[in-house]
Amino acid sequence: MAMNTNNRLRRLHRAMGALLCLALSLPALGREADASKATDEPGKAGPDTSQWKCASCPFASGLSGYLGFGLGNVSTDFSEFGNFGGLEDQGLYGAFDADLLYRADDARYLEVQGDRLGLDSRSLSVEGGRQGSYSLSLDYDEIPYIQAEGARTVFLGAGTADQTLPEDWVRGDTTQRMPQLSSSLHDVGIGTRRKTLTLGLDVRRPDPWRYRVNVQRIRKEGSLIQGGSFIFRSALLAAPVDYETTNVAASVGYEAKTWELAAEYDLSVFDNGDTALRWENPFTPINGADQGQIALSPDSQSHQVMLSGSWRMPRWLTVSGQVAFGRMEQDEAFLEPTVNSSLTVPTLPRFNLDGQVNTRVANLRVTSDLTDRLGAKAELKYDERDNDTPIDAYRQVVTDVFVTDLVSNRPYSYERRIANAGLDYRLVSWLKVSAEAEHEEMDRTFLEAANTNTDTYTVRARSNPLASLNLNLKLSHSERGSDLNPALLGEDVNPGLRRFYLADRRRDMGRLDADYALRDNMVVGIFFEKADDNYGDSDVGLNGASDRNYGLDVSAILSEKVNAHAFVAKETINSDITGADIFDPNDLLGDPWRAEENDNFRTVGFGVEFNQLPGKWTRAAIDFTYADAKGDILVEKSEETPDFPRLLTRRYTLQASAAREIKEDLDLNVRYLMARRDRNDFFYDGLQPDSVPNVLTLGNGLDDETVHVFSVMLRYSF
Amino acid sequence: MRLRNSKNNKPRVRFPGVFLVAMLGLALTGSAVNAADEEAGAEKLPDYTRTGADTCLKCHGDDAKVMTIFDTPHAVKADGRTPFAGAQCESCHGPGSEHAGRVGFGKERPPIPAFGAKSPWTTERENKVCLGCHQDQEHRFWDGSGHQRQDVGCVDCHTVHARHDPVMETETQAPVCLDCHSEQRIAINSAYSHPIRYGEMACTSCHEPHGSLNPAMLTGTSVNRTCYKCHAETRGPFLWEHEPVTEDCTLCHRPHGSNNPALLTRRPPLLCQQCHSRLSHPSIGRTAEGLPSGEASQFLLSGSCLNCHSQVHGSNHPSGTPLSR
Repeated sequence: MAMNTNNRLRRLHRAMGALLCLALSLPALGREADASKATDEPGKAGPDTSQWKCASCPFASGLSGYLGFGLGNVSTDFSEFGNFGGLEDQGLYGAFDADLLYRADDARYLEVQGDRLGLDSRSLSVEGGRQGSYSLSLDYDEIPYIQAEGARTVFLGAGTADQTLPEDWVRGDTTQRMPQLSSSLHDVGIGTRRKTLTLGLDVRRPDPWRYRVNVQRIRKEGSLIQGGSFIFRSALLAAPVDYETTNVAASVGYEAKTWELAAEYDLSVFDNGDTALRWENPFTPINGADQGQIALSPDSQSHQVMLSGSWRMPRWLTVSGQVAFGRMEQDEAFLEPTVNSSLTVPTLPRFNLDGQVNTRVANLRVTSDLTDRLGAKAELKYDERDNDTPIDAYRQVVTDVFVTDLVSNRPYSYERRIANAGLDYRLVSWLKVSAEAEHEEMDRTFLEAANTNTDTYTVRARSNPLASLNLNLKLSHSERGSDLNPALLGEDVNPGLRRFYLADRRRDMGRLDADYALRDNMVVGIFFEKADDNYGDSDVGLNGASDRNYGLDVSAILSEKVNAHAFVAKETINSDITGADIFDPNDLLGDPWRAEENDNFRTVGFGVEFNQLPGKWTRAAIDFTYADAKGDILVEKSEETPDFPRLLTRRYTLQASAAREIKEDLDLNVRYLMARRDRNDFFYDGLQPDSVPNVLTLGNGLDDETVHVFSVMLRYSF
Repeated sequence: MRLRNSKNNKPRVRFPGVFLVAMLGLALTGSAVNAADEEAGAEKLPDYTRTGADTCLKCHGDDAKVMTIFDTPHAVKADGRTPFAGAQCESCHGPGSEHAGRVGFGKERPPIPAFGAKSPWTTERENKVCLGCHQDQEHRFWDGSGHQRQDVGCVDCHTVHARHDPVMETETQAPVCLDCHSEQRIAINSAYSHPIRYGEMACTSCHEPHGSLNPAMLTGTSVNRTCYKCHAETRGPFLWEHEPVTEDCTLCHRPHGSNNPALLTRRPPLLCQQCHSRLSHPSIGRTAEGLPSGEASQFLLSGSCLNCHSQVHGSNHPSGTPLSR
């Protein structure tokens, strides 16, 4: 395998050398000086503007903008619709927004923008300062997220770190044998709210120095679904989410005319308000395991120092690069290996992980406009994850049920190196071709493939044979090889397994897109993209995948006051996976099976904007989007098996709005929003907490819904 | 543990010799060639107008879109860097005396040199106008970037004559990007996606369209470091790591959108069985037997593998080897 790798490298080097020799000799083959190039840029020999009064210029001064306030109504509870948007609850809501700008004559300014201020998806942005000197900014936004609708649980304290069963709970071997199950169920909302506050300072004095500091705090609260298991029995829990992430980015930069240099320090601190989730086992305990404890995401820190910059020689050479050194750390105290009081708790080799991952990144890019027609680019990239976490052996207690072997942790490291070179050549004024070659090497620790190497060749053509027509074509071929050793796959693993991200792979990709101006006021665009992955050496695992993607969009200016757009797009993703049922450790090749997973997506939409309507209606818009996604899963085994039901999500969204002038500074804005979602998902449909004998689910089915939202807002402008 | 070449214990970082030769060749050739180009002589530009913006606004003063420039940072006279502290409209649009001057009978008015409906300047030349002022830290990696090599113009994305440039606002940015990146329209309208279609996230939450040395023009130095900005709970390091998670989030997730919960590329168990085929339950192909009624497959429904192996991003529990604790 190493010999093949070396041969491929040598071939690639020869190819790159030939490409570059050709490029370097092209100028000598005779090229025409492009007489149309201009070197005289505006401002270099600028006009005498001392008498340019700009008397007709209405420069912004003082306060301008608008405040909007009103009411809206949501017709029905619809969590999917409220997801991210904050409109999930039936009833009235306050609609507030604001857009204010203050400008002083000495370049000081203050800008305030607020959207959806009455909803859980509100955002507020405030920025002020002196343009060209300094600015201070404050950004705040909230994102609600609903993970499960209609969820029900038996656990008391759902969503907290300690979840218990009702006092009268009777355990059973299966969910159908839990007599108190139905009477103990209660509703639980599962989702999170993310609140992000960012403070920024940007100082540009003294020129050409620039100083920037950004401090961002992200607070995420709520709950998410997490499975807690005891061997093959599991309960789905509403696990607590109490995250706080603080990101600090500080940089100092120097901006000269032909070069910039910046040094930046990035800090990220993650703090989890909960270290563990403990829950009572609703099933009949095995070996005394009546409760379990999961370690939640530990507190951690990340640091990175980066030096980056670029240098531009006039026109013909630009060099840009960055070097970054980072470290990720985690030293949270370990939990006990088990909370099963009937077991002897193993001794831990250490009290915390003392986890430390060093990262190193170096990127260099050189681009050159060799001539007016010929451009070249070369890049080197290096990315290393060097995991210095100590290795120790830990006695395992499998899901709090029984004590088993010592297992050593494996701190994964990798090193990625990429070399890339490309040429762009304008053959004629309306046709530009490009060719690019890239070689990637990746080394990994603890895996069956210590090294993978990938060669990728790409050609592109950009053409505008007519002023109204643009065409782009891209073709790419990639081959990956590795030194994979099946003996390192592990105990009791099918020797034919090839993990797709390590396996030999051939990838072919092509894309064609075109934009055509049918008329001065109408543009049509089409695209078609095709990608195929083939894992020819993989007996078990992903064998192949394909992606077909195409679409059409039209935009038109129908009149001075009317714009319209429409689009349709479709994508199909197919995957082939092979496996084998292994029941006998002496027959790891097992009974083969084959699976296909096919996803089909379609999106259609249109919209019209009116910039003036009859009477005092100032503007209106209507926008409709339809999107559907179908998923088909097929599993073929030696015995005949029924088909899986089709996965389906279908979404319709219609938005209409209009604004009417009431007075010179007062507008009435009316909005209507209709959304409908249909969904079939056999993984969840009709699932009750006791549907699966050994999994106590949350019964979070997915209902089809239609919702109407109507809002009226007055906007006062000044 | 640092990766080492097994022979001499030195880090294996190779610099292809042809790359160094290529750089030397570029330096020598580019210098000579471009010196010759610069001798070819400059184009003769028209003159500037006599009164600047006052000339332009005689015709364009009734155009609301033109006039919105005065609500923008480009029209702040007290900031000496801005166009209106200098050659006003012609700072960007180029000298306009021919465009604004008298037009002979039956002849067509010459277009303004740049950023007009029929302006003759190329995209690259127009970009240089913008970069004349905006060649700063935010744009330092423009040369050689994907957009620059694809001849994307600044004004293909930016609307300068607007109080709020749509591409600069979270709520209105995505449609601008989707004009060219049409294929992502499907992904962001998928069953499960980042909140881009709701205007809660913008493409620039993850990508740097002005150019970046990072993969896929990301803001972070790798895919994972970009994701960790919002999803720091998956960063670790953990005691028991799930190795594809540490390498690349997109091995399992489709960040623009997917048909599967958590934006997964495939549904478990098939997602997991791409990489796991071991004695007993991990290897078993799960079928539709028992669906939609009756005894459903216990390893299939709801979260499938994740019903038990819920610590899929890694576990810090001493007994967390199977990612169940």
